[in-house]
Amino acid sequence: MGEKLFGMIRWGLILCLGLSVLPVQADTNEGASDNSSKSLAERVKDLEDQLASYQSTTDQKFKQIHEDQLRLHFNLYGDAEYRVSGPSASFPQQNAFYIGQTDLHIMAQYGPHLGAMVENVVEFDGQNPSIDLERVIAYYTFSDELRVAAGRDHTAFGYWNRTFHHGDQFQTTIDRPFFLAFEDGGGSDQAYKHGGVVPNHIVGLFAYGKFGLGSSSLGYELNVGNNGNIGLNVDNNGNVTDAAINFNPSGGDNFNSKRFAGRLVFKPEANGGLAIGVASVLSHYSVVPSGPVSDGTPVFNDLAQLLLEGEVIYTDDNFEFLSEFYNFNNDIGLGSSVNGSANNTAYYVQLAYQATPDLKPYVRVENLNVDSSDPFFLATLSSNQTVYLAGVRYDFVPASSSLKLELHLINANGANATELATAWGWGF
Amino acid sequence: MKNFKGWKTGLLLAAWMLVAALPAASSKAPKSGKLVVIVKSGGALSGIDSKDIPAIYLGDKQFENGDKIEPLVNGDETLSALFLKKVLEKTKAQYKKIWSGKAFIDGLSAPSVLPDSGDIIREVEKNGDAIGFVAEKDIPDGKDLKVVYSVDASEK
Repeated sequence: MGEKLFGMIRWGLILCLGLSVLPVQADTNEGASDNSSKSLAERVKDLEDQLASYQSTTDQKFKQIHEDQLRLHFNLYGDAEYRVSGPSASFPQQNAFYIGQTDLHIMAQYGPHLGAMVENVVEFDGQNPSIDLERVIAYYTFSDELRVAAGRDHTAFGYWNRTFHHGDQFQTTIDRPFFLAFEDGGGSDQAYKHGGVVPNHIVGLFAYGKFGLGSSSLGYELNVGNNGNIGLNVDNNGNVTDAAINFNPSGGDNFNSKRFAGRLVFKPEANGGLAIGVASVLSHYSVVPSGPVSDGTPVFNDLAQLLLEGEVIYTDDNFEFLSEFYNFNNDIGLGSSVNGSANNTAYYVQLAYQATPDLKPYVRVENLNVDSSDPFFLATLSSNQTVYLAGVRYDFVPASSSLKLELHLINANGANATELATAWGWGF
Repeated sequence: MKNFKGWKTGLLLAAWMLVAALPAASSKAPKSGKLVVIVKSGGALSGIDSKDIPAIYLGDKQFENGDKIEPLVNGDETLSALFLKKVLEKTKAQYKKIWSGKAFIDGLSAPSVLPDSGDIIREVEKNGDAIGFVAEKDIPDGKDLKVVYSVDASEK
């Protein structure tokens, strides 16, 4: 019995040993086949060459994010519009297609701190296209708390002026609030678009930054730059036909004192949608007519203005609530050659709701209320005006292209007008 | 009969020894199905607060202790969609819209996109200012990385 058991165990061991050797034997057979064509050293050399080639390819791929690499980005924005308008009692009276501002936006970044941005806009003044250098900024970012820049930028006031530049695709509505229109009216050759009453742009030196305050944040923007003037187009009879706050894009200032602007924005939750801001702009204005003025439009060489602004903004993925309130104090002295008024106000309130991922209805009310004797508003040919606006935006290509349809009810100095506007906007 | 019984015992013994000779099953426990945000261990971002991750990827935080942060996006569509949904709480269209605005307003460039997790891991290992996201199961052992945030990789 014992011998038989020992015999069985012996055969079992032999079986085990045989099975365990088989895979090794298979490998050995394959190795013998490779060795027949290349030596071990040659195979190692091949592997090293492949690894070096792969690393070189990988380094090329990562080069774009290394410090010594220049990054350039080009973006193009624009819109095409169709408007039907007229006095409310006889609407519609006229209709036409328009080209909005065509905006070529260029960004350059060299390393982690240095960058530049240029925004060139093609505009149409009547039949003649022109190219405006709307923004040209060089900046150096030290930290989240401090970025220093110089050039031409949007003046530090107002959520709308600091957020929405010349590409209308980014803003919910077709137009800016009318009193925030660009100084030259946006150049889109529309009777409705008159130049605004605020100094949207500034040429000078800027500082921006944001401080974390626990879960909150406080952002700031500071500008020092050139003042502007109010340009008047005067016909042969001495009547002023058009007025606009002018800027010399390449610089130059008739005043020794400079324009100062500052804005603070507080967010109770740094990652949240609520923002509360205040801003102030101190400017000097002169009036520059193209010819002799005989219709009583004031022509002055120094009016000091203190613009105060407050804003309550809430934006998230579903809602947009924008509200800004302005006071134009043209009676602060500071060497003014004319006496203005402190009783000039403007505001807008806009509400939008992202009803579906691509459909956003919205409403807005805009108002300018001025002292009828104030020389600044007389020179800019501005008067009391209220606009009620309702519209809908359809993003048929998300983040790139949209269709907008709006109804405007306008009351300008007691006269009612109606406008139906559509726009196809794009941004690439 | 007696012979058969002994033969069976021998076979059982042989089978046991055969099983014992087989290579041991992997001693490593399978990695969990998690998406992880990684930085270089001991690098400039090793002390970062996970609450800052959305601010970093949405352009609201660019620097950490004076160093420019390099956020990296994984080119793997499934992973990036999961990251957008679970960490940034944004859709792809919302993310694109935010960065279009950042570019237009502040002149900022969107985070670089690297083809896959392997590229992300290699770059984060080399660059102490880089932060990226990968599937945890894609991280080989022995890498000099720190996980600063993790989230369940399931679609829910």
